[in-house]
Amino acid sequence: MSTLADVVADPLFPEVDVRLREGSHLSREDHHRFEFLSQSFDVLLTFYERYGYDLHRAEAGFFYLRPLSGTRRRTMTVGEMLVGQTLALLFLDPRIFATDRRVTRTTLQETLEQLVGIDELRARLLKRNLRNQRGIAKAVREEIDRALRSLDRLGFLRLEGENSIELRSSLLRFTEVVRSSAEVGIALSKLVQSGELAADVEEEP
Amino acid sequence: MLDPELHIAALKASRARLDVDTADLCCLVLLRTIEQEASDIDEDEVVERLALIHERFGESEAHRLRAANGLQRFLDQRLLTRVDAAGLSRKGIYALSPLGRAIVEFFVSDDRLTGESLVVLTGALRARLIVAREAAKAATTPEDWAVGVVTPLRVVASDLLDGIGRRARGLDSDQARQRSEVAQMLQDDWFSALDRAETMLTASTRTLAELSRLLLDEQAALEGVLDEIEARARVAAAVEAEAAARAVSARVTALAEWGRKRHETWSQYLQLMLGTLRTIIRLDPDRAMSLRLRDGIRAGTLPGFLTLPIPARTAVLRDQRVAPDRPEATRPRASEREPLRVPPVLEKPLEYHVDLAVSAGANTLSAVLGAVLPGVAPADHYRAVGRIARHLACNHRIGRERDAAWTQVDFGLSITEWHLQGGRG
Repeated sequence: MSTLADVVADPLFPEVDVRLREGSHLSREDHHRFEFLSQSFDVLLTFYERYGYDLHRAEAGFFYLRPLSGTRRRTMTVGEMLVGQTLALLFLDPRIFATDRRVTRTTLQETLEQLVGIDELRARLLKRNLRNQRGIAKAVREEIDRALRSLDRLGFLRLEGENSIELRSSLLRFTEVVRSSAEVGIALSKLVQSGELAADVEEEP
Repeated sequence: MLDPELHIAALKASRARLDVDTADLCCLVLLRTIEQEASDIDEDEVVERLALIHERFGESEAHRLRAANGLQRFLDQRLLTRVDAAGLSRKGIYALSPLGRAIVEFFVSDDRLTGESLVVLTGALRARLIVAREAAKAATTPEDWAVGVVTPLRVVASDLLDGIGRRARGLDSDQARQRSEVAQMLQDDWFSALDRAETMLTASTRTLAELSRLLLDEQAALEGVLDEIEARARVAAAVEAEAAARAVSARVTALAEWGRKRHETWSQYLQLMLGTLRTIIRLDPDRAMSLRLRDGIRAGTLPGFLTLPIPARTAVLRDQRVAPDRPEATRPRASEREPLRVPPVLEKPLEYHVDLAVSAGANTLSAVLGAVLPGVAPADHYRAVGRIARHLACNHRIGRERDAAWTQVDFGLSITEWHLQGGRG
C-alpha cells in the first residue's frame, strides 16, 4: 500500500488502529492483521509518530506501539511482568511445539511455584498480608488469572476455555532485558532510554 | 437384503464364535505370510513357527502345545481350512479362509491416505456409482431400485467412504506424531533440527495439497454421477434411492471439505512453526538467553516494566439536536397557591365526608376514595387523597398486605389498598 489514504481506507485499518492504541501486540498468529501491518509499516510509522508513538517492529516479528518521550504512558504491573516472563520461558522450551504452542493454566502455576517458590510468589504478587493458607492460595490464583486476562487483551497470548493458553511470539518482548549477555543494568538503561521499559511501575493517571 | 432374525437364529443354533487374542492375530499374520510365500500351509512348519510366536508372548502353556491347539482353534472358528483330503491319517495342508484373510488385511493394511491410495479408492467408488447409475437408468420396479441402486449406495459406497475416512484419520494421527517428533528433534539438537523439521513438514504439506486437489477433482466427478442417480430416483418416485444418493453426496462433500481444511490448517501451522523456530534459534542459538531468563525470574532480579500506550478516549460526535423548550420546574409560593376549593357538593370539611363514607360501610381506602373524591375538583384529587389517608390513619386501625400490588382506582390514581379494621378508640 503506497499512501496513507490507501492504508486508512483498508477495512482492516480501524480494528488494527484501535488495538494498537490500546496496547495490543500483533504477531504472525494474527494472520491477516499481521500481513496488513507488514505491508503498510512504512506509511504507518510516520502516521503514529505524529501521535507520539513509535510503531515498533520487533526482531521476533511482531508489532506494537511504543510511547515516545513526553507521551503519556503506563506500564505493566508486577503480576503481569512475572506471568509474562514465565510464559516467555515456556515459549522458548522446544517441547512447546509438541502441544502446538499451548500450555495449561495448571502448568503455568506449577512452573511459577517451582521457579520462585510458593512464599516468594505470594510476596511478589500480593500487596496485602493474608493470614490463612487457603486465602493466600486463592489470592495468588486470582492475581495470576488477572494477569492472564490482561496479557490476553494485550495480544501476548490467547485464553482458550478454562485451562488452555495459546502462547504467541509477542511474549518474546519479555526477554528484551536478557537478550544480550551484557550486564542487566546496562541493558536496562538502554531499554529505558528507548522507551521500551520503565524503571518502575507507572499507573495510568 | 440381510434378514437379521434369520441370521441371528442360524448363528445361535450353530454356536458360532470368534475368539481371537493378540497372539492369535500375530499367528494369522504369520500364516498369511507363509501362504503368500508358499501358496499353502504345511502343518509341521506352521506349528514350529506358531510356537515361536507364543514364546514371545511368554505364555505358560508349553509353546508347541499351544501352537498345535491354536491351529485347531483356527479350524474350529473357520479362520483356517484344510485343503487336502488326507483326513486324520497324515498331517494336513491348510489355507486361510476368506474370514482369516479379511482379518489379516484389516490389521496390516496401510492406514495412511496417499495420493495413490486415494486415486484407487475414489476410482473404485466412482466405478460402483456408475454401475448404480446404469441400474437406475434401467430400473422399472421397486426391486430393481432396491437391488441395483439402494444396496450399492448404502453398502458398497459406504464401505469405500469408510475406508477413505479411516485412512484420512490415519493421516491425522501421522501429523500429530510429526509434531511430537519435531519437538523431540528440537530437544535433542536444537540447531540442526530446523532443516530436518522443515523437510519433514514441507513434505506433509505437499501431500495434503495433492490430496486436497485430488479430492476436489474427484468430488466434481462423483457428485455428477450422484446427481444423475438422485434425479432419476426423484422422477421414478424411488424415495429410498433418492435419499441414499443424497446421503452419499453429503459424505463426499464432507470429505472434500476435510481435505481443504486440513491443507489450510497444516499450511498455516507450517508457516507459523517454521517462522517461530527460525526466530527462536536466531535469538537464542545456544539457549543462553533462556537460562538468563530462568535465573532472573528465580532470583527476582529482572528489572523494568514494559511500557504501554494509554488509550485515548475517542470523541463520538453526535448529530446536533435542538433541545425542546421545557417549562421551568417551579411551583407557585404557598401564598400564591390557590387554596383547596371544595366544590359546592362538599360543603362540609373533607374529613366529615370521610367519616360519613366509613359509617355507610366503606371499609377500604379505595371505597372511601370512591365515595368522597367525586365531590372534589380533579386538580385537587392528589392532595385530597393525602388528607383522606391521614384522617383514616389517625382514626382507624389499618391493615395492609405485605408487598401489596398497586391498584388502579378511578380518577387516574394508583394506591396500595388499606383495609379498615375498626376505630382507634
